[in-house]
Amino acid sequence: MNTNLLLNRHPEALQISLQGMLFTLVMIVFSGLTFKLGHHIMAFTWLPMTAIFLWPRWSHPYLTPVLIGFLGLLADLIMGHLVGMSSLVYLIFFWLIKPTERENRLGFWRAWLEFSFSIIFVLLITTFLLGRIIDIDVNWMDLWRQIFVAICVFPAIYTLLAVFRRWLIDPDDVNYQ
Amino acid sequence: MVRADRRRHERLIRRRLITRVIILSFIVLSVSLIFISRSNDARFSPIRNGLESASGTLIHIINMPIKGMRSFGGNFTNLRQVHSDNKRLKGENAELRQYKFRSRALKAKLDNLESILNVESGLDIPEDRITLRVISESNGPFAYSVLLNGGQSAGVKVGHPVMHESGLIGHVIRVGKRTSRILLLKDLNSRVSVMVLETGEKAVLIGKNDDAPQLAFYDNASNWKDGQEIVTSGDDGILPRGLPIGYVVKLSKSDVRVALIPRRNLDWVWVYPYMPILEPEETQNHVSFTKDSNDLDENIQVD
Repeated sequence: MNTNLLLNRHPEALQISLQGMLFTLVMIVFSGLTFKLGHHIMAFTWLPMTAIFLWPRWSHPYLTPVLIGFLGLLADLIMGHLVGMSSLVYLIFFWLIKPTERENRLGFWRAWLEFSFSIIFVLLITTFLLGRIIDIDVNWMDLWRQIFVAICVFPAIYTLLAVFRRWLIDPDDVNYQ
Repeated sequence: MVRADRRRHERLIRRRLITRVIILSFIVLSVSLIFISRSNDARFSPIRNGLESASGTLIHIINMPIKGMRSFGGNFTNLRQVHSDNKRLKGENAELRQYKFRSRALKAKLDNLESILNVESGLDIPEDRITLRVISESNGPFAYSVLLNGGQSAGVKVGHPVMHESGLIGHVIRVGKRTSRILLLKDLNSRVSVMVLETGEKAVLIGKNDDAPQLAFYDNASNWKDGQEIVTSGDDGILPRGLPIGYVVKLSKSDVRVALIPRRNLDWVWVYPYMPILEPEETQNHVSFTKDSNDLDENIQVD
């Protein structure tokens, strides 16, 4: 864990956080897309979680969870989910992976593996508990399909970010301590 | 040096604590909102309508190349099947022409009988329909709904049934200016009055968040048989009578399900501007009085 990230705030932390927010917002808009594979409808419902996983490391430590919470609420309102469901999932996911406290940028394979395990863990646990608490039958097959789609799309999003990184604020190039 | 380290450590702990408190507060807020929206989703409707309308246009634009590519791919595949499709459709067309003649004859017969008996049974399914495009689909795990690219401006109202080419998919639950939200039949909150087309046996179709909604509130389980065609009964006064839904699949004595009519990936759908049956108390609220006239002009406006 990078304690410097917590102790020394980056001068552009606010802009970096907004950059992460914009990227997640784009993913939320795309999450409404579906396609058919065989007889099954595949949905990009959890696409924004890739953006949360790849959230810029030097973001503002207090503002980031607030932004993620609001983005989750926005996703619920746009997608017609139960209000609060996505924000809950996003925040638990954010809390588990702590993208703003990473020491170094993650390499592709490690990132993919970590993302796959954490998305499965968070979604299964949260959905199971939510289903129990609010007494709703969950379609587990649909959930697995959505997780599968998110995991499959992750490499494309990771590559896209790597390509566009030079046009984004890249704190790794900033001599900051 | 030690003091500096301790101060650094304390700052670190304090910052971590603040971050945790922020996250926990939002988690509590989210859980509370889930309970509120589960008990009364209508509270969020105005915000949802605004956001759906705003994001709908954006989603529609993003969807354009994707749908274009999908239809291009579909057209390319279809080209290979043109000959066999043409042959099959010609046969189907001839058969449908026979049905059309019979349907016209039956309608004339029904009109005749109605005029003799002086009754108005009414043909529930409206002839007009609004063709709209699906711009996004919310596919679980808790909610199953779709967003259409037309709302109040296109004449869509809450409660209107929505069909794809072969069956009912759900009904309108929210209408914005340019978008409308459809609750799919398989959603947990969906309740539709249905009946067997052949026997008229009635029940309520309850969404179970899977592909086969469950039948409930029926008289006798033995009356339901595999393969019976299920249509809307119109008893709820919200949906018209006779819209096709699916076929009975009897899993056990207490668990009768309906296999929904299979659909392709939702793209174009029809919204039927069906006028729901209002209760007398509701129509009273819509009575308007003309000011210029001394007589009461009971001009009932149903909307």
